[in-house]
Amino acid sequence: MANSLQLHLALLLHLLHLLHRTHSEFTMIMPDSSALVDAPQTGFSALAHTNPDEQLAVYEIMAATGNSWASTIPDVCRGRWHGIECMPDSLSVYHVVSLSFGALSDDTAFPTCDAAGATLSPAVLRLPHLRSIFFYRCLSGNPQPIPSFLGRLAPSLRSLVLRENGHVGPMPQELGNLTALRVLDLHENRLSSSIPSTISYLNHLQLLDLSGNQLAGAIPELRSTSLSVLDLNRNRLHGQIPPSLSKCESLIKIDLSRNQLTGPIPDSLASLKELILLDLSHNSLSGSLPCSRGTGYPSLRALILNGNAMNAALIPGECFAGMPDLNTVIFSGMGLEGPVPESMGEMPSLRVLHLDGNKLNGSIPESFRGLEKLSELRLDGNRLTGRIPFGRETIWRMGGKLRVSNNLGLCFDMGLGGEALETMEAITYCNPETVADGEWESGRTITKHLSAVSAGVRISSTSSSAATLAAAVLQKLLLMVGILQVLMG
Amino acid sequence: GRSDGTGSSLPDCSHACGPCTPCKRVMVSFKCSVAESCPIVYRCMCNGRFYHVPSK
Repeated sequence: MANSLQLHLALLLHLLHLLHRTHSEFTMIMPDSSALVDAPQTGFSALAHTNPDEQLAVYEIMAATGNSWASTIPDVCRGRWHGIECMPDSLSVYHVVSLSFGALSDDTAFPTCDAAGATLSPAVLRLPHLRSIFFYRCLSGNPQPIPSFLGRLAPSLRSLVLRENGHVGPMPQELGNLTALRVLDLHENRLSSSIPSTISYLNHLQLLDLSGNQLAGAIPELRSTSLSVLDLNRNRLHGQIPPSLSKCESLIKIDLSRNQLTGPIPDSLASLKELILLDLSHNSLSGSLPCSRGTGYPSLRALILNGNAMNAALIPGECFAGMPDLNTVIFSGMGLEGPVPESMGEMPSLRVLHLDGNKLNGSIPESFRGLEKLSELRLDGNRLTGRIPFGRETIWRMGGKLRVSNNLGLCFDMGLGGEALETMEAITYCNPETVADGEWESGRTITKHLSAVSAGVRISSTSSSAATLAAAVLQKLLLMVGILQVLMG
Repeated sequence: GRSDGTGSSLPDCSHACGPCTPCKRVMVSFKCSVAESCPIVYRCMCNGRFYHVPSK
């Protein structure tokens, strides 16, 4: 008793502490009273100055975004702001290597853009050491195409980010000239036409994010063995998923969801040893499910395929045997048929499993009792029968995240009590007499019941409508008797 | 002397508040319990508004 009180107190204190933390912001402000002055603290030669040509280019680029205050700064690489980075060369000349615009948050604000008239100045071409360009929500008030001159940017450019920037029109094919690019991020613009095939020249690409546009056409061939993130979700891409994608052997995330892709999921993707997330949801893919077949997809944690009507596909028995880290499986609304394989109960990391809105039949495998980490299970809207194999503890833990309604004949052990039943609308108790069989089959149950309780009445279990109706009424009566027995005994 | 530009240095706020002057470096501490050590960051400040310090 004393122990539990202590535990409660500790918990309460912890909660209070958490509450306190969430309300705290940075409050104590101290002037920097150290002996150091607000003067250039360059760490290298005090004689270093910005290359004059680059300095003028920076003035122009800043003015084009509405930040003409920069032109008053005598040396832009010494009097820097958050949004410009410079590097000195061996002759102590500073070169501009990075320019960024837009407020990511109040706390991390690069120079913002003049909403009405901001443009991306071609003066960027006069920054021969530029490695990174970053524009976030900057030109959205003045929608423009992505300028094709960007293809003539310094060959040193490694990162081009034009995110939520209001760009319209096609992606310039000249972007394929930027062969040193590591990061190409054009997320949430209004880009149309197809992705230029020149993108396959970008052999060092590590991140390609073109999500949230109106890009059509096919997914181009990608060859970068360094590519780790491919995000093309929410576009209008069609055609097949190129099997050659498996050559991008560093891929950890593939998100092609919400496009119009057709054809099968290439078997070759199974060879991607680093792949953690595969989201192909809401396309028109067909064929069979991607399976491990022993050694495939060894790092996969999330497999999301919902909203592809892969009609009549089965979940193969040992599909997930080689995926020890798989914790999320989303297979809703895919027209899946056949049973839920017993082996799915042996996935050690499984937390979220959605199989709702399919045509799965048979019973929920007993092995599901062993899924200790399971926190969300959707089996609603299938043709499942038999008893729900979970204990009281699991059912309480999952609460509303256990969805089993709209199935043919799922039932529920009486011993688990009425509280649990509340979380499972329209699921009835299993008939105690049939529980031992492990199979619930309404016709047979009713016959048994009739012979046991209402002596003298005989209704065959063939499905004439009157018989079915009588059976349903009797089933309900039996259930009530069962509940009464439990309540009184 | 020759330098490769590695390491770090104190942020220089003199031009870090855009058109706002004067722009001064301040230290900002997070409110935290006595038991913990409180993290401190630098910010630039002008007219009561905070600005991020320049990157390297």
